[in-house]
Amino acid sequence: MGTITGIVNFLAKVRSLSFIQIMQRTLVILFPFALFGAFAQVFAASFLSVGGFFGSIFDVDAWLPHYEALRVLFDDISQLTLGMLTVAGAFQAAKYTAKYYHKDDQMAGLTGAVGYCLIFFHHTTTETGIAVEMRYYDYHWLLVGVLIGYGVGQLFRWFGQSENATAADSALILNRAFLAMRPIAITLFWALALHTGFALLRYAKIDQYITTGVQDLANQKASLPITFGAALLTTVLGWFGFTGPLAYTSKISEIEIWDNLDTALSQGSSWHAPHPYTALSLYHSFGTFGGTGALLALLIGLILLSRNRNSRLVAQWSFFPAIFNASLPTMLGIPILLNPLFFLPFTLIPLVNMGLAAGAIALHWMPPVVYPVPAGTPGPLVAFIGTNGNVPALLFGIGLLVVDVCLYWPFIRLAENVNQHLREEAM
Amino acid sequence: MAFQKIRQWPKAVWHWLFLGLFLLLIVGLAWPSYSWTQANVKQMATRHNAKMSPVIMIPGSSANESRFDDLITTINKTDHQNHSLLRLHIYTDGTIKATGAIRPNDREPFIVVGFENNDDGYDNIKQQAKLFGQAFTQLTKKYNFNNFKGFGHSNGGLIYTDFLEHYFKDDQITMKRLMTVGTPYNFAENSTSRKTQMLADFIKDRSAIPENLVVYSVAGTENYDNDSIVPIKSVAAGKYIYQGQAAQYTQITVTGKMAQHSELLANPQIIELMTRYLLDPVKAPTKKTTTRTYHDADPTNSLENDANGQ
Repeated sequence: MGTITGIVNFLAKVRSLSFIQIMQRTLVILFPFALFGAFAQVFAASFLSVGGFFGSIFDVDAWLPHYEALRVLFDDISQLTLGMLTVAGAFQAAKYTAKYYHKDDQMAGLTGAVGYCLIFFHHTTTETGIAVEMRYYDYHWLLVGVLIGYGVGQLFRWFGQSENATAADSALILNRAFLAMRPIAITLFWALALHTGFALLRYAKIDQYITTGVQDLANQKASLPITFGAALLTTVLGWFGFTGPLAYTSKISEIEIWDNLDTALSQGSSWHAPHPYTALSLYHSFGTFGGTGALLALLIGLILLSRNRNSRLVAQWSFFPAIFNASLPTMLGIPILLNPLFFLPFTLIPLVNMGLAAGAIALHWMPPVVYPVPAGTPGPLVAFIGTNGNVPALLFGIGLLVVDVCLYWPFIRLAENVNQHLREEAM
Repeated sequence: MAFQKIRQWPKAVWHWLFLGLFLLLIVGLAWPSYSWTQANVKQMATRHNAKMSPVIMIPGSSANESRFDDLITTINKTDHQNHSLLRLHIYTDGTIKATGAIRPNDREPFIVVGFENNDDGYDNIKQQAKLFGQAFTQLTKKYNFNNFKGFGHSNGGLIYTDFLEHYFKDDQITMKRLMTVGTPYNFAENSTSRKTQMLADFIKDRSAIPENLVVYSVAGTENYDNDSIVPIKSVAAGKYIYQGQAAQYTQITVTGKMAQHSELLANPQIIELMTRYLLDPVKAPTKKTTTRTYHDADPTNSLENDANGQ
């Protein structure tokens, strides 16, 4: 019991650090936007797209008029929520940091958002106007956005005015703007410097070299260590909220995947696929129920067993997108991102699943997954579809889900103990 | 205590109901998923294991689907492969009339596509390319081939180019080779500095052309300038579309007897070029003759420096 109390005390201490507190508040504020964005994304990708899960199995293009226009509308929603989430994150992080040190938080928030946008502002002039590259504004770069927001908040801590001087009195409002000039100028200067440096890197195509370098590294022969290593890298970076350069993970062992498909189509079944342990047959089929970190199991555990009403509410709302592997609402709402409580299960449970699946394939309980699976297929059905309807693969997937709920269970309890501890300390 | 129990009991039921509904959803979706993947894999396997690799041919303006009959007879006499011939006549409303047939187990049949509206002009070309796209989709569904070769005479090559840029989107089907004969990529323009709207559009959308396609553009010349109808500069303008985008782009000029635009199809030299470059090799290919690079990632001439050179 002594060690458990020690762990709880340690985790409670970590969670009371200023950066962690600011981070977690930011994430919670972003939760509703991530939720709406995830719903829209699921409708666009899984229901309204020909290559999506519902789109394929129910032939949506055959009977739903204007499905493409509908998809564009849903895409627009997700573009302005998920697609701008990092900018919002920079805003909130800067605002909360300034507030934490009792400074002008509104000014800090705006400065954080503008500063972040400036660092990654790349545009080209076209015939019809300006095309801005939005890549760095979407949720994959959330960690970077929050760090920059935190930095801007610190600038306001050192150079900004205290809250008292910034009361929203109409006579003082101009005064307030002038008082914020110094931290804004410093932010813009450094953002411009970083922007220039980054633009030079892009001009020299160094970002492309790095991306292709990582891809070449990943494009090796599919062996167990490579597949597991890539999966661990993905989950660890996912926990940090930094998945930007890893958005290509579906390309890992692409050559082997084609080779497998080729053999399976010639032979009429996937039992004798030449590369049984690819990323597709292990990670994408068994390691991502509910998105990175096998979060569907965590949500089921929270809904069934949590004593905390808020956790249950978040879990219920996040459940629908999570069925279709959109995990962002869960990541922000629980939260999982940068939450030391969930580091171990989030990064390791997918690997446990992959290990069990590799064992089941080695023992010939089920064939390797080689056939194409539509985007947005519910987690436990991926292996079923990808093995051309192998029933043991479906049962194995459902069994894994149960195992994952059991594995997440002690961590759900631990999280509740830490919360309890924090509440007691606060009283 | 009793009160609390009454309050808690339905909540627990709701949670387990939630889980039950989820499991029901998964199992309920498993059945349509099963049908979908079975049908999908079956279709993919049929295509994957298909042996047929047709040559799909488009004649020039004013000609119909019988345009290549003599040519195909000659080829059959030369290579003794007894290629079968299917002719499609496409009406302007999209309906298709077929004559001839593909013999079962013919690995390399000829399919000739003619149009009711076979007029010249960019707008007609665009319409014919669209109709050809529809016919092509029907052909792929009916015959399940996974690769094919293309041949276009005169404006037929323009229809192919428009088709490749706008209607050929199937990633399960490879277009291996395209041969165009006397195709006026810049219509009747004698100089490439005056680009027609069509050529400008073709250049704009060239990135849609498959990067593994091997292209041969054959020109005929009766004198130093043209084949009596199409200027050689107009045929040569094809490089602005294909060179550097397709895996290979080769220009061949045929001169001498029977190098007139319409006579080209009876020219023995053209028939030899077709059997050598367009059709699949008859015997097991010796390594020496077929060392083609299909993935030429480093083309030495780009459009820009070529244009500057002129």
